[in-house]
Amino acid sequence: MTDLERTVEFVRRKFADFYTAQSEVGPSSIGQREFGFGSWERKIETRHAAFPTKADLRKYLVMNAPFFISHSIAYYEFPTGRPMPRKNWLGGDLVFDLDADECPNHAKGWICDTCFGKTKSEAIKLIEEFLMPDFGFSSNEISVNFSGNRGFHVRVESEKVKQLDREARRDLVDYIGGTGLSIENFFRAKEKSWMENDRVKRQLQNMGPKPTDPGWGGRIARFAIDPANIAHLPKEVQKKKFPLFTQGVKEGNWDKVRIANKETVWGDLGKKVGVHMGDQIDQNVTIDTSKLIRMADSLHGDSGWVAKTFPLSQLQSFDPRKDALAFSSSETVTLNIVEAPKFLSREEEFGPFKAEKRELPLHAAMYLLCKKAALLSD
Amino acid sequence: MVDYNLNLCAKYPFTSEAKAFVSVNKPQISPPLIELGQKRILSALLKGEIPKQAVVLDAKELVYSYAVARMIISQFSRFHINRYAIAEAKRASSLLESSLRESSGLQDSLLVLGGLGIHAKIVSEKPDFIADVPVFEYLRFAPRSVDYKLINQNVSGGFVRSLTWHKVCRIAEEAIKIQIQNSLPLKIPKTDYPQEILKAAKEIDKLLPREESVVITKIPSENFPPCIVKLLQDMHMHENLPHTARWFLATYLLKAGVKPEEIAAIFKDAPDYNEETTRYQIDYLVKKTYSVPNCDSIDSYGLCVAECGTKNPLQFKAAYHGKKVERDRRERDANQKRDQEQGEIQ
Repeated sequence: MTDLERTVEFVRRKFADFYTAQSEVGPSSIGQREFGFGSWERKIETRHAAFPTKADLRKYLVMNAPFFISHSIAYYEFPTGRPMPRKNWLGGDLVFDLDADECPNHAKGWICDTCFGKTKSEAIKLIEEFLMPDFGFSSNEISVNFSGNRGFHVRVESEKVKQLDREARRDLVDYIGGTGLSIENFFRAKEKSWMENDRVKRQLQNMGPKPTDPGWGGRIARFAIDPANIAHLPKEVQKKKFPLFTQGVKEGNWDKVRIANKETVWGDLGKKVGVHMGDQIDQNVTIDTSKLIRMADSLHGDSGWVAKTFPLSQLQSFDPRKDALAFSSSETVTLNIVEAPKFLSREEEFGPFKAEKRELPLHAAMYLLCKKAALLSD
Repeated sequence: MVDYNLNLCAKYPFTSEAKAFVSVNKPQISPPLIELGQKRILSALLKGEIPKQAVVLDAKELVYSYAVARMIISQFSRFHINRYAIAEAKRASSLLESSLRESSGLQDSLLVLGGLGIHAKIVSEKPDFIADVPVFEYLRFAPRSVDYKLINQNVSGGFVRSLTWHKVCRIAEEAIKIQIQNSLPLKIPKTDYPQEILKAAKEIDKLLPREESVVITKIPSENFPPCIVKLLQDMHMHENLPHTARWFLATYLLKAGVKPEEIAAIFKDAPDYNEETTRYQIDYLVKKTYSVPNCDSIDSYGLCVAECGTKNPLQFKAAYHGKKVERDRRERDANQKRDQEQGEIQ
C-alpha cells in the first residue's frame, strides 16, 4: 500500500467515524433531493442518487464515507431520473454561494483573517442589506452554513421562492450584484431633458433618490454621501464641496454641486457598488436550479472541516478554525508535510512547514491531509 | 343556487369563477357557438387579438365561446396555442387596465389578480392608481425587459413599491399567458371531442396562411456567435422570446449586415407575430442605430449560452473571418509554392 493509499484510507475511516457519531443528517424534503458524492480526486464523481429518509442517507454515509456530499438545490418528483427533464422539477430553494477571493497573503486554497473576514462581511451584507430589508425575509426563513472550506452558503427555504425560474433568479442575482442599474429610473421626470430649460432643471433638482429611500435608489444615495466612498465620487465633489453635495443628496437634490456628464457619472457609481457585491457570489449556484450544493453539516474533503450550520446571530463571530472542527485534540498523528503555511486550528498556531516530519493533533493533521499538503508517515 | 358574476366571467373567462360557471351551466355546442369560438381563434392567430364584443350584452356567449375556443385550439400545434394564449392575455390585460373606470372595477380586478397569484395592494388612487406587488410574484411574472428589471424598481419589505396600474396589468398579462399556455391542450383524448369541434378546427386550419418558415441559408450560421444561433433556433421553433432577446437579435442582425426585410421574415416565426408592429420596431432600430451589447450584458440578460471567447458578439464574426482569411491566405501561399515547385520540376 502506498503512502497516498494509506492516507486516503485513514481519512475515509475518520470520516466514517464522524458520520457514525451523528444522529441525523440531511436536508429538508430529503426524498425529493438529488445527491452527489465526491472522491479524493473529484468533488462530484457520482450524482443522480436519492434517499427516501435521513436514516437511509446516514447508513450510506457510515458505510461509504464519501469525501464530499452534495444535494440538489431543487426538489424533484423523481430525483434519480435521467436525463434531467425526467426528474420532473418541482421547485427549488434560493441559495447564495459566497466564497473567499484569492488572497495575496497566502497560497491558493488557504484562508486567513483578511480574506475570510471579507467574505463574512459580504454574507452579512447579503442578509442584512438585501434579503431582510428589501425582500422581506424573516430570520426564520434564512439559514446560513459554513461552506466547509473558504466561504458561506446562505439559503432561503420558502414557498415564496420555490417556483422562481432561471430568469427570475438571474434578475434577483442582478439586483443583489448591482448589474443593470439604470440610475435615471430613480430620478423622477426622467423623460424630460435635464438641460431643456430652467423650469425643468428646477423640477429635477428635488427628485433624485434620498438616503432614506428603499431599494437601489436609497442604496446609491447612501453610498454617495458616505465619506468612506469619496474616492469613487466625481472630482467636483471630492474636496470642499462634499458637505454641500451631501446636504443636497440627503434632501434628494443631486444638483447642489454642478457635475459634468452627471448621468454617466451616477450610472457608473451604480456599477461600482454593484461589482463589489457581484464579485463575491458564485452566481450560477443561485441561478441554475440543477446545481448541487455541499450538504450542510457534512464534512468537506478539501479541509476535513464541517460545513457547519449556525444561527445568523453567530455569523459575525464564526471562525471555522475553531467552530467547524470535527476531530479531537487528544489523538495525535505523525505526518510527512510537503509544504504548508502558518495556520490556526483550535486556537493553536501551526507551521509554516516545509518538507518535514511532524506529530500533530488529529484536527490539525486532518486539515493538512485533506489540503493534500501532507501524507501519513510510516 | 350560486350567483355568478357573469360580467367578470365574460371579461376574464380563464378565472376559476368562469370555469365553475361553465361546469355547472354546460353549453350546448351549437353552430352559432362554434362560429364564435372560431372567430376568437382566427382573430388571435391572424391578427394577434381577440375580437371585441360588448361584455354586458353577450356575457354568457363570451364565456361559452372561450370554452369552445379552448377545445378547438387544442387540436393545433404549440405554436398556435402560444399565439392564441398571447392574444387572450392581451385582451384581458387591456380590460384590466380600463376596468378602473367602472364602479366595481377595482374590486373585480384585484379578484382576478389574486386568482393569478398576484396579490397587489393599492396604495393610492389619486391622481393615478399606484400599487405594491409582492416581490416574488413580481419576479415570476414581470416581462424580461430593462424597464421591468428588478434593480430599477423600488423594492422594500418584500414588495415592489409604487407600480403604475399599467405595469400591474402588464405583469398580469404575463401571468394570464402562462396560465392559458399551461392549461392547453386540454387533456382529452382526440376521440372524445365532438365531431363539430374537430370539423371547426379543420376549417380554421384551411384559412391559415401556408407560409414556409424562413430558413436562413443566405446567412451562414457559422458566422454567428452561439447566443445568436440559439435565438434563431428558438425563433424558428416558435418560442416566445422575451423583449430583450428580440431587441438583441434584431440589433445584432442589423449590425451584421442583414437587411431589415430579412430580419422581419425571421420574426414571422414568433408566436405573437404582427407584421405592422414588427416592421415598425425594425425601422425604429434602423433609425436608432443601437450598438450591439457587450457579452457581459448578454450574460446578464440570460442570453449567453457558451463561452465563445469574445467580448462582443460582433467580434465573434470578426474573429471567424479573421481566422478564415488567415487560413485562406495560408492555403493560397501553399498552393503558390506547390505550383512554383511543380513549375521548377517541369
